[in-house]
Amino acid sequence: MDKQRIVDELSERHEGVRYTYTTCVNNGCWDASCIMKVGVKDGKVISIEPDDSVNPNSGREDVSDEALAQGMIQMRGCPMGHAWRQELYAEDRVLHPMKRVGGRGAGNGHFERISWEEALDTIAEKMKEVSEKYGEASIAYCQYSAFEHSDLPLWPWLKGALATWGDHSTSGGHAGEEFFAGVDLVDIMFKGTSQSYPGFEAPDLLNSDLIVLWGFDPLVGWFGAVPYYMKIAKERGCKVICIEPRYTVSAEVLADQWIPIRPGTDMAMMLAVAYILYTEDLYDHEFVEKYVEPEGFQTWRKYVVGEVDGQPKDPEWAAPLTGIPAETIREFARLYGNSKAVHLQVHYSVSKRNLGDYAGAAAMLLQAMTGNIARPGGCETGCCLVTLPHIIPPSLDWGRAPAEYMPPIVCNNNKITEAIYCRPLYDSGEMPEEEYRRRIGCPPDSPLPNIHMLIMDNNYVNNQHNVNKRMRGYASMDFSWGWQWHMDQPSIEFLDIVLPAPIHQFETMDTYFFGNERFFLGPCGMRNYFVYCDQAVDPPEEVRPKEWVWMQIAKRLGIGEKYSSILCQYDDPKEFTEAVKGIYRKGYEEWARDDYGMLASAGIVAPPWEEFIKHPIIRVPIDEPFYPFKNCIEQGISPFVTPSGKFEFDSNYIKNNPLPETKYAGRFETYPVWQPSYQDAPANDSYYHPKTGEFPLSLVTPVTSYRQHSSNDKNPWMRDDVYQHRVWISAADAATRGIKDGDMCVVYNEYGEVHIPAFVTSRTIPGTVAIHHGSWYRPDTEKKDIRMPYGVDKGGNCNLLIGDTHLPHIVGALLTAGLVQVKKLGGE
Amino acid sequence: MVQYGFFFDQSRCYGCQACSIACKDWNDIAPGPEKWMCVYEWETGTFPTPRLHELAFSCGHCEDAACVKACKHGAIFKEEEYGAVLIDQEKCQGDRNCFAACPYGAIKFASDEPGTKASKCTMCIDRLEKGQMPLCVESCPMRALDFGPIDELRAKYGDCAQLTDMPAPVTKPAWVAKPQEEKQQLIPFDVDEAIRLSMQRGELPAVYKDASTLEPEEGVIRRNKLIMKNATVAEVMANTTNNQG
Repeated sequence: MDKQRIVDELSERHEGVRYTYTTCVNNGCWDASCIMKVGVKDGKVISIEPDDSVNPNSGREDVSDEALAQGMIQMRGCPMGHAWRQELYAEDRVLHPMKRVGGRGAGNGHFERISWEEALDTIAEKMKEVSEKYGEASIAYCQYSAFEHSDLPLWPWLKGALATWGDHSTSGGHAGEEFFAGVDLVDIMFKGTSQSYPGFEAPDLLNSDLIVLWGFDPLVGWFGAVPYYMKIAKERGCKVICIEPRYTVSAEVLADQWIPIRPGTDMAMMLAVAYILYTEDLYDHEFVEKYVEPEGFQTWRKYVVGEVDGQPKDPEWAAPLTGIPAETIREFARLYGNSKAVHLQVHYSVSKRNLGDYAGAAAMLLQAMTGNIARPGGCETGCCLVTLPHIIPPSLDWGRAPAEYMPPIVCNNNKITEAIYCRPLYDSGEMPEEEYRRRIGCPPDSPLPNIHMLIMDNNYVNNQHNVNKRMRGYASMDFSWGWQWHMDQPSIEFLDIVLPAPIHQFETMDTYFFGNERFFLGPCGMRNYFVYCDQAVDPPEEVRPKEWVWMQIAKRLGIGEKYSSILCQYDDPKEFTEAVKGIYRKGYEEWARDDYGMLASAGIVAPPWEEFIKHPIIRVPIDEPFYPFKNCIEQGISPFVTPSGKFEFDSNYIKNNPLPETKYAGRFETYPVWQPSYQDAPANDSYYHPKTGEFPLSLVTPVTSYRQHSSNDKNPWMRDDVYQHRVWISAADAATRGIKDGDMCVVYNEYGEVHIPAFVTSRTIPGTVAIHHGSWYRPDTEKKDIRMPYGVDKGGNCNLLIGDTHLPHIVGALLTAGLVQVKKLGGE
Repeated sequence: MVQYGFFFDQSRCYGCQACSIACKDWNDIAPGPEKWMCVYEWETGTFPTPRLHELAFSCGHCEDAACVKACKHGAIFKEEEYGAVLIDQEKCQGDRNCFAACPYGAIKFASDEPGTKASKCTMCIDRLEKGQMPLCVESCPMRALDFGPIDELRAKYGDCAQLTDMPAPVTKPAWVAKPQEEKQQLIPFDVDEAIRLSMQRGELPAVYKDASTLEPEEGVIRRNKLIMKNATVAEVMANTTNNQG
């Protein structure tokens, strides 16, 4: 019949396609750098296909046990990976520079198109003005100035730059990790002063005999090789338990059994587990003897069994707090204690709430008690990232001059808004310096931040706790500018000059977030490959490379030569991009020459550049997957860089330092405790807060498969095409409120108000609702109130409902939980 | 002719929809109901023992295809090399008899407008002709899909052609599946005690008072059954989306 005509029609758009490769990773993908094959025709991306750089043409990809253990599998993308064309060719994409005319914030002012010259001249002039007028720490770059470091590309020569400590993702567990385990990502990744790599590689999951997903939905929140290997492990007999307030996709697909728990009560369950491990002698004596500081181990035991406060933290005590039957807790502890290799991972969200730092820390104590913190098949359960690579990608020479200036660490990474918001109070004398420092985690020997300019190349306004406070603070800047993608992104409303953002994964040779170069190494969970992310297409209209913009600003500030002696010669954006490619090529060719025999010893045959760029993935088999602290354990050294040199259950750091006077600026017991209130006030997201009378529902805000933080929120191949953004509410809570699935609801508390339809489900514990993170604030500018100065939200942004209170507890965590009420819109 | 077909592992699918989007991307299909690959998600059971079910299904490319028989214009035919069921859009009159006949709702329409031509999964025949796999299969991050001669798939994976809640395989679909796994209770979990504990809030007022509300009335929870045959744009969009975002 007419088969051939149909085949021809289907084939037509793929005829003559040229392919490049990239990873589309953004901040928000977490531990993935998937390999995407990009089909290009007539200067446009026409298809985005999965990895075919190994095991090509395979569906199920049933590889041998050996290949699986070696990590010789494809790095397939998630749904977002295939949907980029809707972003690249979106109708409302920002395609030329614009300036704001009129006031800041939704409902005020508008944008007018300007030339690149005007945009760049104005930005450079304002940067000069702000840094001269206010001096150091006056310009905040909102991309990722975390981990005691600044990501502002010009920081080495620009006095206004600032750095912050901590980070967003691992922030809840950071303090405990440092206090008890002596593990600090800054020392490992940036200073190189510690070799205590706490990460694990996915194939090591095949060594586990029990996996505990605690508040952890890896299929969504740790997309990539890790959940795939968890599934393979389960299919081979590994037991999997999921402890979570929601019945997640991981609870269904990966777990044997779901144990629903009340949000914020994990610490009570952990103490009850420790109670059984101590009283039934189920801990790993050999490991404890070797790696755990003995006095502290006994100190915590006394607290756990009730010798300190008369309250044994037994399963019967924990049951009414957690909502989990005592027998279940007891038997879980026994299963845990009797298993040989347990990947117990308490995910970041568990600790990213008021007093959640204790749970983040206690999880590490449990893994240390059982020896699972540092063995094949185990898990550190802190940040759990950073492994030793099996392959070192080429290094590049950008022709940068030495740094002339070191940006001061002026606050915690999650306190930039507070630093801006409170500065006028400090300036006017209403807030003493001590209090200002305490609120933002400003280290005692650091200058105070004095931020008057924000540079945003993301959706910073939208994506963290207390959005209304963020907007109030950001509206007060002298001048802000940045890159944006869509005309209606919430953050655009706070910028005075907007530059058209490239979708750098495809359109330019820019670095990725965190300054990652385009020889992109595999994630911590599979560190055996790198992919060269070539430019697939030219950016559209007036969109230009970000690196070109930085160079143009640097030149206007008189530091172009310092920023890059190589690239400063190129003013034409296309020539600039070609010069960047030249730097990559030079780096590759030096690497391929293999002067030190590194490639030869790894069995890598590096093809010539022209051949390499056609199949730009270099992958090596993993001989033995990394498990937490593998390098230290094998060398016979303790990975725990604490005052005692061992894992401490009773922290010497806390005992020896007046914590409120440090950057942590608050109180933390010397060992993890159940303390549902700080001093006399209950945690403001607690199930047991008296304000549950008014706001009775616990709100959790999980990440999703359909947004990298808030990137892709509008993508029409995803939003409303394959998913609906809703507030999850249990059948019981819906019944009390007369709500049916799909009803438009009002979710509100003292921080904000969000209008969003209901998703009624049996998959959440009653009393807990969920709104997925990253949806854009969509103000209804006709409906304003004191909480919502720009209008109530019709977009379902959960961060409007989350407060930012820390004190007097330690500063550090990015908060992701709250208490709310839900009612049917128009109802009582 | 060697009949080719698909394998679906329900125990591995988490409904991410990468397959569905990769299909739209490859075939350049606009956002909306023309989803040649559909991912259905539905839940059953009540707290604290719910289950979540996923089904990624494009077309059975049936050996006894009801759509082929139903078309009065000869617009749907079974192609001879792979056994793919294809629509010749030049002959299609948009009368939707094929949709009425197909038990799986595999025939798709870009709009509710009368006369809209039918479209459906092509088995990626353009890729097969080049020796490649269908793109949905290659795109699955959990490797829940496979493709090949249906006899080989049956030999490898068994001959289950009907998952719970699916229509009976009367049209002989070239499709096999591995069902979802039963949950294992590794440790005791007293459901009544868990419900009692979920109601109380210590000295504060109860979270909810009536345990019977855990079992909702019909219509309170909408996403509670598999509905594959969706006649309108609104029905397709309602029943092939999830709430994971």
